[in-house]
Amino acid sequence: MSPETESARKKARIIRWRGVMGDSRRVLRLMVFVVLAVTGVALTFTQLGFVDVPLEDGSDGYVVTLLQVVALGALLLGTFAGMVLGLLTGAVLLLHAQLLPLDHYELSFITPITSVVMFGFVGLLLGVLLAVALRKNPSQIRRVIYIFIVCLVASFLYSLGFYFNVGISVVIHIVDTLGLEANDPAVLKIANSTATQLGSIETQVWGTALVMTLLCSVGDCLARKVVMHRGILGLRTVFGAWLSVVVALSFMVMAAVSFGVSSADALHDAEDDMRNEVNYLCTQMKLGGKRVELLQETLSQAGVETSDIDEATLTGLSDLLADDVVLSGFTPNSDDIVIIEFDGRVYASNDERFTVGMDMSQTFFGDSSSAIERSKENQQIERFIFVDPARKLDAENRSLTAPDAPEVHPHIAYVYAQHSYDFAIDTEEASDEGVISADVVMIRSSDQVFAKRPEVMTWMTASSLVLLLAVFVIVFQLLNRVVAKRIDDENAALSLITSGNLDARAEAGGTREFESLTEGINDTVDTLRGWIAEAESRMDAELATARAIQESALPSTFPPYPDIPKFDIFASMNAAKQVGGDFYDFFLIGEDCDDSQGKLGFVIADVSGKGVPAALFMMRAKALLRDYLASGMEIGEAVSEANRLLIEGNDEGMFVTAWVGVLDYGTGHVDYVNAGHNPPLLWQREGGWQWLRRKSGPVLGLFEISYRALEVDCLAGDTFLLYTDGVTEAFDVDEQLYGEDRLMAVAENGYRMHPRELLESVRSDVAKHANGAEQSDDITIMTLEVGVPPEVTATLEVPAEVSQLTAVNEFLHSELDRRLCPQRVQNQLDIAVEELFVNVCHYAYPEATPDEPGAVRIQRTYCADPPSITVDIIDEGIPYNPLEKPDAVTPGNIKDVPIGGLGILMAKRCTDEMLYERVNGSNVVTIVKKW
Amino acid sequence: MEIKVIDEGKPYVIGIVGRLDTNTSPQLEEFAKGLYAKGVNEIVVDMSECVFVSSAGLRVIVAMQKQAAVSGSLVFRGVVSDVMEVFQMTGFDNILTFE
Repeated sequence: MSPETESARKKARIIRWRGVMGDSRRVLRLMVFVVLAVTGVALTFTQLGFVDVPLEDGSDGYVVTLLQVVALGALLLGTFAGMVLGLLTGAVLLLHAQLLPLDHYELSFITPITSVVMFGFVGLLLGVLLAVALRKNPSQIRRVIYIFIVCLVASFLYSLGFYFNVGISVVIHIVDTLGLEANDPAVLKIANSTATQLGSIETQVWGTALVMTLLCSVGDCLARKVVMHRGILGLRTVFGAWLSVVVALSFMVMAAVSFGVSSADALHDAEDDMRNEVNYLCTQMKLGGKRVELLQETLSQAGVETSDIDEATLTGLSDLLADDVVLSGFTPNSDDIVIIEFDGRVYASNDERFTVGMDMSQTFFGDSSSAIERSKENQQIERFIFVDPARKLDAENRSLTAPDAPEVHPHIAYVYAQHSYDFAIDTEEASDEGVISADVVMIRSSDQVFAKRPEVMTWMTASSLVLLLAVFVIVFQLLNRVVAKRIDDENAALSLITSGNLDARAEAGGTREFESLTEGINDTVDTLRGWIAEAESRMDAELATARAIQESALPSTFPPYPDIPKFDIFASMNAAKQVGGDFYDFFLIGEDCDDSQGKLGFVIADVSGKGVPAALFMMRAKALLRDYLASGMEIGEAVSEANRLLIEGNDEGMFVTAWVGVLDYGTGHVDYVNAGHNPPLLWQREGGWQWLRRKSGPVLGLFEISYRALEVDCLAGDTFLLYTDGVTEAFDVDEQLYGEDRLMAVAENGYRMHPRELLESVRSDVAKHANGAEQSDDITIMTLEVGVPPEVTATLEVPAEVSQLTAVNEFLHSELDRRLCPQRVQNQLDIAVEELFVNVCHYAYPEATPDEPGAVRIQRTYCADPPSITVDIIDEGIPYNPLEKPDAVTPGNIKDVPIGGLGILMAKRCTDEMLYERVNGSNVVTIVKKW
Repeated sequence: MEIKVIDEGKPYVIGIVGRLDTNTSPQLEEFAKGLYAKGVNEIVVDMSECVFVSSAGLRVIVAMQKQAAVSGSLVFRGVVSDVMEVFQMTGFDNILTFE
């Protein structure tokens, strides 16, 4: 960028500076402008625009408050606005000077140049200087300093300009009216004295500058706060701002009105007062007789040559005079200036500035008639004309030395003027009306007329300020209580609700609108809650259905292959609240499986995720694995193929961990594939429980790879314990995981148990650990015992000797313990078995000898579903049915107790079923005990 | 099964430890006979460690109870729930004295 363009841009930026509020909304800027403009007008018309500060040396200082408005405008709204406000304020000032001039200065000195042009210029200047000072956004302290400097400069320039202008005007005026030369020392003297009496320039400069700085700094601070506030304003702020504006404008209106009223009042009072005095004076003068001598004497005392005035004139005059001192008894206001004029000359006055004989037409301000005209137009002169018919003088008899002197038109008038220096006389008008009397001019300065006004205004200003402030505070508080707080309460309730607490209630009330709003909110929330509950229950119903479908897909009949005694398998899946993705599966592989040889495929798996998508993926995975494996394909290949198909169409990136095994139950050989699944536990004769940690590959469904088959050889009794991470990752209330160690511990505890009991033992241990914490994942467990038939039938043959009871008990207990049969139940079985076995020992073989006691066969059959044990006691002795004996009656007392028979009663009572059969020469007593 | 003497005073307190079945009840029978021979007929039997009573055991108990009905007393204390169930099943809960 070239330096010229750069500097041009800089200049443009300065000129176009939009003030501290530059970035605010248009409405706000407009509002500020309007308020400032109104303030300027109000200040002008209530004459607070020029604050008169009386100084010790008798002169006056001014603080130009109008400049504050312009300065604020330039600061807040920018260069252009400052200039416009300046022009506006200046125009209003000009208007005021024409209509209601404060004093003769204002009347004479407020020209378009000193008002419009000067104020406009100052506004522009302020804008430019502030733009330069503040555009780089300096720190707070610097801002105040810069503002002070700018205000000082502006104030100084303005004051200087004003005084300069005043000086020039004075000179022009003197030259015009007195006909003196511009370089006459008298002119300078007069100009100086005017300037001195105008007031101290220093006071004006410093006073204005300080007030300007204060206002501008405060305004700057507030404006920056407003501008920097991004986002929406609060109710209280907006209301407070508008209320402030209303209150401020009200204040100005009240000030203006009371100013006007008190002015009119004062004027009226002054009029009445002066009228009364003049009346009195005229009366006095009517009563006066010819006092030529007195007149002559007076005039000669004054050094006026009475030869200038002819006798007739003097006579006429003296007719009008009172007997004694002309002015005796006349009590004008102490400051009132009273001049009795006769034909353009001072006859008598109470003010030394108007010496007797002074030519009234030769006034300092000359051109009295035009002054009068202007004053009349401005309604600054009140003319009161006293008509005394008895005093009509013959016009022809009155003539002065001048040949074309006008006729004598003595009249009485009073003039109210802005300042003690100002006066006006008209000697011509009275002639038109033909009234004659002595001229009495009563001048009461506006200072005197409006002497009380400042006091009134001060009281009024102070009290209305206090009142309006009180109103502001009260109204604001009312808004706060009645509206804002209640809205805040409603908002608080709403934010509780939206943050998830649907039980929160809105509670604000007190007025109809708020009651209605509160009710509305609560009803809405209730309605929504109802819908949510409905939707949830619908979703719950759907999920329940999905879960039912999922669970029904898992084989749940146990034992699944009761005819194949080569393995025992048990599995369970407890779903978490959400529909999950765990599954297990088992199936025979191939067509030629029989009860001694064949292949069993068994799978446990966990799909990532929860909910319906996981359930669907789970179904696919289960079906694929089963199909490929059941077809007889090699396990590694089967899993790889299933994986490939799972990858297809798996856009969500779901995956499944799986442990797949194929047990050749003829040989005990197990091939398996672990695809990213938890390592199962395997109990083997040699080594006990070991983790089977080898993995074949990663999870299924993501990567197309080929899975490696692993293998292990099992002996009868070897047991697999497979599970999903719902087991190891079950939390308790303290977020402790169940973990592998606990699983190992419970497995070691239950290694003698059958698969179903082992699984139950694991499940109850996990539940105990969780201790009430919510289940977060499906818990799936599968146990497989190789080489152990699912329903164990075993036989023990013992000699028919009572001492063998111990062995019989042991034989039964070992199975029952493995089956987690409760002790109480075992006790009851023992009672029955003891009774029956002892019976056999005592009665079945009557021809038994110690060497040949006879044999008893005990056969136990465990049935898993429902759990029960069937014990057959078989002997080949004489036919004997222990059930034939009638039931012993429960003894009422000890005498009735039969020694025999009690045992059978007890046996019957301790078992669920007791049967006798004579089969092929054998007694078979069968008892069934369930638990 | 073990019979332990807890208190040799009046009443005579014995404890039965273990199972009272067909093989072990003769032990109790013998012991009781010995007491009666000594003239001890006020007996308290502590059953808290007796885990099992079969019909054979009951027979011995019956015999002792009959003796007590004639003279002396027989009180069973600390009977475990499984054994109590057996007594209830056979109506012996109304015949025997418990504490």
